[in-house]
Amino acid sequence: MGKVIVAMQVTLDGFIEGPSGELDWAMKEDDETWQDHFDLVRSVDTLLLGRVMYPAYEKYWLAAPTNPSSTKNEIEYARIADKMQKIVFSKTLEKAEWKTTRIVRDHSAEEILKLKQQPGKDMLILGGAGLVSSFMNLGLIDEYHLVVNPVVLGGGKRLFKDVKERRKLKLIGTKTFKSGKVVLHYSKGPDV
Amino acid sequence: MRKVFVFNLVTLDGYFEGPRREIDWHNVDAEFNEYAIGMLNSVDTLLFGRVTYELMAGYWPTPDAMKNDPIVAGKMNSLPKIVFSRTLDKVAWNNSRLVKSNVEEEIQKIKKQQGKDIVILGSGSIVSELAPLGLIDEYRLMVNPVVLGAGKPLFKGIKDRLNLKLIKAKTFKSGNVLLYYEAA
Repeated sequence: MGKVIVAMQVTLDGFIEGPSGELDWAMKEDDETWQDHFDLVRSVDTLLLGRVMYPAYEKYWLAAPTNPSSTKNEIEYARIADKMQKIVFSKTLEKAEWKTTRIVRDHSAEEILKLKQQPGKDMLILGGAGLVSSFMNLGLIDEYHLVVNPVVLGGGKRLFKDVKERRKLKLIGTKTFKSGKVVLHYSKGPDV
Repeated sequence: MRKVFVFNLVTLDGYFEGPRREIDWHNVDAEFNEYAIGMLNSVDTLLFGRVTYELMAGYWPTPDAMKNDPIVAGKMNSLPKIVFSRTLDKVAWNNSRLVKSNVEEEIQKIKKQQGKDIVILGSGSIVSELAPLGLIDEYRLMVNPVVLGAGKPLFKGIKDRLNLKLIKAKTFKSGNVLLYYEAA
């Protein structure tokens, strides 16, 4: 049974987006962060995405290969992401443009456990906050790979806003990058 | 010039206290205590806002604190303390001084005096007030391996983005990670 790993960038104060959806602080070009992300994505066989973030994510990465402002790393990521199996959890999304995306209507614990029990590699949750909280509240996240950015936003969208009860984690390791980003890598703790 | 730094335990979701001011998630052990003693040895002044001051003044002078944590309690009780509060009338904890207004001026003044570093403990509102004024030189945040889901954010009320520069990260056996930043 594969693991479910959350891989996201956060600010030092726990936000994944600024008050107006700003992501520029996370998107600064940084080879070490990209390399870390590539390694992680290559270690899994499925990407899991929430319904709120999915449309913009799909649009951005489908356009990236031909977008003149794309960086080398972005083009590489677009290529990798295109080939990966992706699952978006949504009751309302009618269709995904990305051919490798499957829409799952039901994200009950049973449905997710069924996914986890299929043979295969690990699965990576790329966001957003709603999906992460739902999975956490069901006790279904095995690891957290959070990239903490050296910035305080003071407001925005909190990653763990809808987590209902305290979750203890276990630190597995850390990495620091020249950009000042720090990877905090946790597994689920004893109380899950 | 001496530095003003913040030292705080925070959760992975950025809170320094739970919704009902819980701090029972503090993940402390012998290694933490050793670190705390070294940190307190590097300063000669503690800065507090009212809320944290009242919490600490209600604990450190008690026989319990002296028994459980004699070295830290001894330092907390003897070090000079400055309390920023518009509402308090007096401060009774040993070696405390109340500052009711002109926080900025007060900090500029003490920074220019000779001495060791100055630490702000807890005190989310003071951190949020001083950070945008550029009065905090370093942030030392010890990220505990826990998610609360709700609580008191350390940086609540900060309106403008605060860019920081990572100095280093130190991992503790307990799973705490101490992140050192300076103002960018």
